[in-house]
Amino acid sequence: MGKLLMVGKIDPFDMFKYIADGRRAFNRTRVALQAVSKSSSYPVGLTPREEIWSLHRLRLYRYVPRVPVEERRSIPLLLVYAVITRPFIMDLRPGKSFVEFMLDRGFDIYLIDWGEPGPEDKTTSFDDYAAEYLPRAIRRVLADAGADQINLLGYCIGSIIALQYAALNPDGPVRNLVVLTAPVDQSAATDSKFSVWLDERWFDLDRVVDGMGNLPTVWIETAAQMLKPVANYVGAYLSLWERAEDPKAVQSWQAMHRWVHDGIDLPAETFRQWVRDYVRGNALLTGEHVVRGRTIDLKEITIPILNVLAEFDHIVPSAQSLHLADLVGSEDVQTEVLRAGHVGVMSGKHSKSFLWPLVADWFGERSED
Amino acid sequence: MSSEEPTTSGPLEVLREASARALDVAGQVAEQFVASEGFSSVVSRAANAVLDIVTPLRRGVNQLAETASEWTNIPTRGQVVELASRVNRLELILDDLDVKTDEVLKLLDGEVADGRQD
Repeated sequence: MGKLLMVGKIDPFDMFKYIADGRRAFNRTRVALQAVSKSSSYPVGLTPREEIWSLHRLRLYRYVPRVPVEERRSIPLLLVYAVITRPFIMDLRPGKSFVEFMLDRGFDIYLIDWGEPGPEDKTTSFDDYAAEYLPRAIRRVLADAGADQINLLGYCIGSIIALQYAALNPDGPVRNLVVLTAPVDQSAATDSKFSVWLDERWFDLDRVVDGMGNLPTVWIETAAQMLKPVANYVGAYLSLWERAEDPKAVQSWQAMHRWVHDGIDLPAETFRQWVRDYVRGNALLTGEHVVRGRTIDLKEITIPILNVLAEFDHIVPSAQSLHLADLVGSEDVQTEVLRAGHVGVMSGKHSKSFLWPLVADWFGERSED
Repeated sequence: MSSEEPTTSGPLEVLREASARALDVAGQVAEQFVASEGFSSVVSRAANAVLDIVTPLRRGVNQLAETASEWTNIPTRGQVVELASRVNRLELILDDLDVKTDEVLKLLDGEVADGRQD
């Protein structure tokens, strides 16, 4: 007993303090367990919005403006999020919402929610997202806003869809494009775990796609968690326990936990195309990707682009999007590297003080009539 | 107690520091492990083995369900999925039609406005 108490220079007369520490630890554990059990119903995406259009599973929302009409910007901004997770990461909770921030800066914000695919969507591919759904959504936004130009913001795979659209429609209505963590050049990050896992030497793509149909969200979630297994499966919960006495930190954790575990299935053909054409074939760069009979050529894109990458991104290594400026035809390309991870780039501690004002100012400067 | 000694050196603090160090090391080792070709190969083989069992089973169950649906004269899953796909395609066609209607209305509005000016 005496030996145990001497560990780490423990003073045996501090027993009352140790008991208090023990009670604190117990309390933290209780709060943390409650937080975990309630996180799936934690309220997220609370900024008021209205659905202005829907097509099959897709929903197009317009956020209710927060500034008087004379202070609003004339060019609407459409948020294009990835097809494998829910877009409320951009509107996580009041005070921690990119959408809220942009509304306060006078932007007219629209959001595409791709929806959860059903079995009938197994043939939906990137071509459909870039050449069928996005153009229609853009047309609806323009009609709703009474505008003839639009700003786009793509995040993760959403930025690939936005880039594809911009390449297919060089004379289209897109005035400016912001891409966040865009996985453009798959050959640039040789250490990407996804590339290793999906290597054709062992990963039988057709067998998986034909056997599974749409890729279940649990597969996607597990793969994402396995990129950093200890940090995600253990560290995340320890981090909650450490901050359990701070209600705001607990709420923040719950919102993020809900987002991480609230994914959606990926249409079978989208997954097949992603692995075959992009991860293995790097088709966006090799010029081998043909959409509706037209080859995607990034050099066709001449609009201003803000390319934001995350230095510690383990899902889309920053090298994959670092050289976007050399790949597109635009003369006005600004590249910003944020000291954050893939998700932290939008909702981390630097987001509100750096990324959100940067995006607002960048769009603002380039959206003058 | 001298001022140089840590003030929060209770058993929990010691445990916490030790676990943080252990987690750091375990995290690095685990990341290297999951990035290895051996891990990828084993996981893929396991997935293939699961699919080898699950796919025929699922096919069999689907076949059984289809047969049962036919006997009881209710739509099969395949038919419902096919119907949903057709509705989806129909939605796209209707949306195209909507675009064309808007264009026609715009042209008509323009002509009406021109007529008023004349």
